[in-house]
Amino acid sequence: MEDVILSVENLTVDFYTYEGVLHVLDDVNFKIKRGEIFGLVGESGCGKSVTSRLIMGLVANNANIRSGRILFNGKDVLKMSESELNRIRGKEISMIFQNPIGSLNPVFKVKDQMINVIMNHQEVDKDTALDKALKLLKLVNMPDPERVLESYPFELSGGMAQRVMIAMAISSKPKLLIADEPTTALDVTIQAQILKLIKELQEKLGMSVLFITHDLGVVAQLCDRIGVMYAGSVVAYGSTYNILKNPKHPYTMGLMGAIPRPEHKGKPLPSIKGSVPNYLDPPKGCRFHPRCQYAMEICKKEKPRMVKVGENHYVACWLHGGEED
Amino acid sequence: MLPAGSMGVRKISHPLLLVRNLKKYFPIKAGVMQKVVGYVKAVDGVSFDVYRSETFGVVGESGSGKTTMGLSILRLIEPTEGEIIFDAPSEVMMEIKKLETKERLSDRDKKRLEELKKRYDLMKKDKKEMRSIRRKMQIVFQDPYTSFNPRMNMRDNIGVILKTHYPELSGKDIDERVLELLEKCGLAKRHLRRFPHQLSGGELQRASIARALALNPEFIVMDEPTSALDVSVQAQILDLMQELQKDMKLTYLFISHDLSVVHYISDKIAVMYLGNIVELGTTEQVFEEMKHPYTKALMESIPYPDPDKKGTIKPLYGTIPSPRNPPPGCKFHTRCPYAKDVCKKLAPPLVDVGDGHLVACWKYVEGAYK
Amino acid sequence: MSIRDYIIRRIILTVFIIIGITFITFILMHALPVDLAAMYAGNPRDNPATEINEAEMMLKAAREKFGLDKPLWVQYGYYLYNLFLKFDMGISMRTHKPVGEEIANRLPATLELIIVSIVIALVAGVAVGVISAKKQNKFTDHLMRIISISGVSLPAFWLAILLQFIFGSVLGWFPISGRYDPQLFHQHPFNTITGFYLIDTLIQGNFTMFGDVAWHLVLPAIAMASYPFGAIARMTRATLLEVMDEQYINAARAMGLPKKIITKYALKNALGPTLTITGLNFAYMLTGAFYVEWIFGWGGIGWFAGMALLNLDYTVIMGMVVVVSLFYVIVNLVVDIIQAYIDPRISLGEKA
Repeated sequence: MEDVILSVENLTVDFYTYEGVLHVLDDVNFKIKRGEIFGLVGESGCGKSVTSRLIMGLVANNANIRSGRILFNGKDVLKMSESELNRIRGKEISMIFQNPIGSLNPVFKVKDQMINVIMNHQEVDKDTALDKALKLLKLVNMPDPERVLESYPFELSGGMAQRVMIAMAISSKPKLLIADEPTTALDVTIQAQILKLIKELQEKLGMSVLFITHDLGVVAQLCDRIGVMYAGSVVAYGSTYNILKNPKHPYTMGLMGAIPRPEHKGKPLPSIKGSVPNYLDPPKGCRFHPRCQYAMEICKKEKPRMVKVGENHYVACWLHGGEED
Repeated sequence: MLPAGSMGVRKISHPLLLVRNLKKYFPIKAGVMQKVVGYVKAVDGVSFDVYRSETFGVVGESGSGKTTMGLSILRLIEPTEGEIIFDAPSEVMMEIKKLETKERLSDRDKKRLEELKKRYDLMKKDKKEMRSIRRKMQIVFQDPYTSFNPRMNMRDNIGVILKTHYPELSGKDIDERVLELLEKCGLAKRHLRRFPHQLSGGELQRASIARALALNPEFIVMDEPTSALDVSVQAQILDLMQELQKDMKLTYLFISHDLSVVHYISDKIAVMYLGNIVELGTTEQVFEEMKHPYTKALMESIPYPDPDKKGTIKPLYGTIPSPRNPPPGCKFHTRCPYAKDVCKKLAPPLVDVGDGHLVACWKYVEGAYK
Repeated sequence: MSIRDYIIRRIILTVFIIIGITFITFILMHALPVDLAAMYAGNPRDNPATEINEAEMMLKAAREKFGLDKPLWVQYGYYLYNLFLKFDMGISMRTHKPVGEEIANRLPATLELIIVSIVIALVAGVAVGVISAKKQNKFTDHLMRIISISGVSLPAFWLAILLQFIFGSVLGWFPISGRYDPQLFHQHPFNTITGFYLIDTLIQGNFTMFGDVAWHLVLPAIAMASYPFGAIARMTRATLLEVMDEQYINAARAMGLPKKIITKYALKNALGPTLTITGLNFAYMLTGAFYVEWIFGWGGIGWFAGMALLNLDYTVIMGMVVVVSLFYVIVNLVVDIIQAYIDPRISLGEKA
């Protein structure tokens, strides 16, 4: 096996709610290698954010992990105590979020929040921490970093707040950065800046990145390999190039088709009919079958296994009888 | 450059809406007496024409004023200044356009133009007149969850509009009409008695469109109607919108930050930056012969879902300045790689660079870019 | 808006508020079917021994003295003139002393009581709220809920009687009335300077009396604190739980920050609503102190206002209305300024 930093194996998780038991994650599997950018793509509610939170050990009270493990550097995150987790969080694995301004505490200055994070994982005094904070802000190309340190989060733009979050996330040179839709709330010109920054930092620090997004465009720009998630399972997995150039899973095909492109102009967009299933009572077999135009009898009964359909390209679909992985 | 005629078949059509020098300023107050000390110029003098049965796309980032502009056109917020000429007979529209483009206006022409505009200008209508005009102009909002009353089911949410405008309708008539509208938008009878929280985002946006259609409008402002939706659902809504447009001869003002969506759906496009239109033209003109540096930068920032284009995005420098305190001259000069002295001092006019393709950039004003 | 501008604006508004409130009170008082001068002069029918004429004369004199014989708008005009330009609120019908003096003499006693109560309520309420939120839906939370709901639902006068009976009469741990022990006062006398006896004894170095005053404060302060304590505890729990769901708390956890810092992060954000409710209660207590002051023989302004109401002492009622509204305005202003200081997003005078 190659050098793997994170390995999610057979992760199946339910959530208890007032309406009933939500069967959210259904046997999720993927691996992230050292020094790569791995994209987890899917539409809202597909379970990609839940997965990322589980990797951070942020398990909600109502979650029931039915099976599976999450190995970070060979150790199962799900079995760690809160204090073990706190030694990893922000130090070995860091995370940035979709809503950067909301991720910063509104009533403390940027300076104080950065110092708290730096002093938490590093044995330094306050002045050194402040110095480090300034250096970090320069590292993330923050314009006017001295002023930003003295600002409150609401005085920052979305792009600037995300740079602060990134600066805090890389303060202890983590091995893995989880980026949960970090550019979704940003304008397209600012998104481009942040994507470029993440790429640069990833190369400079040699860290791995788990990039979670719904945007196939962002994935195509940034990620080396991806996993496409649908309704709590990874349905396509492998190199970004192969999956997007030559999609084999009907869901991936549908997604690629649904993106409005110049060549579709004047023609109806080939959309995926229906909507995402309800987790209270998800479809049996392949969870995509009610929306799949190629659905067969077997799809309604049995969940398909991951099979290899090409070089570095795997899908979970009964249409493909390739060799099992 | 290709002549406009060769770019697909131009529909022979007349304008439905003329917007002239539309402004919306929000006052900034300060001091003990809350005196007005300045203005946020959210929309700072925009002019354009929307033709019948076409989709006019407006694209811009946050703070560009695109949503404020959409609301101002419907007078859902009161514009500070400007003319909104809506739904005049085609002869009148053509006459206005002719008079406007005339080189030298005689006093009689001026009077005639004023009179024509006055008669159809929404800014001159009182509340009662506006209410009946609103039947013809509707809006669909970005967030379908907050645009419905959460305590009413879909039948009542839509029916209440019918009842307001046509109090003579019986309950049964309304039932039938609402069902017809829902079905037209791809929903079914079972959705009638459901409450907003029981519908998915896509279903709710379909219901929003059904509600907008309730009064048989001619013109609908689509304010980021698919921004809150997933790609697969977005495609469904875009398809529905186009289908309805064909069937009902609707005219759309489509506001979005997503260039690919605007490109896909629009016939004409206006690119906005900090309250101004910086480029305006047909979709082909704007996307294939883009002139303004901001439009170019926007295009280069879009990540295309094509792995062959990996690493091709070119970020634009800097952030959008605050609309409270916009830079002088061309508002884009702080981020523009081509900015020269003139750009820092004077705001560029919108000039025609050929076939009605308008650009506000000193580069395209002869002799000015030094 | 700057703090200076904001305060000036609020003071201007306050003048209008006081005019409005005194106007309404004035109209209400005069709408009552009673002779307002009777309290001052005594009702002639109550006193058959006096010569009818003499009593009638006194009543007439009283009416003239208070201007009650003049048209209403003239009376009100005089009242405003005296209030704003001479800071004079007239003479009490009941005690025949200037209203301003009467209120000023009694105000410190009540303020001391409610300040101590609100401090108790705030400290205990926030603590209980934090504990409840941390142990959400566990046994501790349920227990705390019972305590805080009891706090809001038990009537203050009932609690006052209960505390007085159990801890004062039966157990004898605390005194049952008054602000200090008169006998002890004779041995260790102190001068009234501010009227706040805790402060007065302290600045005169009279620690014996300080202890005695504090001891006298315990029972009434607890009785008064029970409602605001419950309200503050409920509010703190609710906002804290809401804040704990916010993205920045998640982000802070994802950065591996320890519990201590997370609590600090959350608490500062949750403080806003707690402060608002504290301010509201604080102002409300000024008049709400009536029963507790009565039961504990406190001689404060609550008791005085109650007596004025029962006796239709119209000048005192008007005076109390002015003082209480001023107090409301000041407390609100202070709360607003503290809020703006805690949360930089709130700019004074604008909707957050």
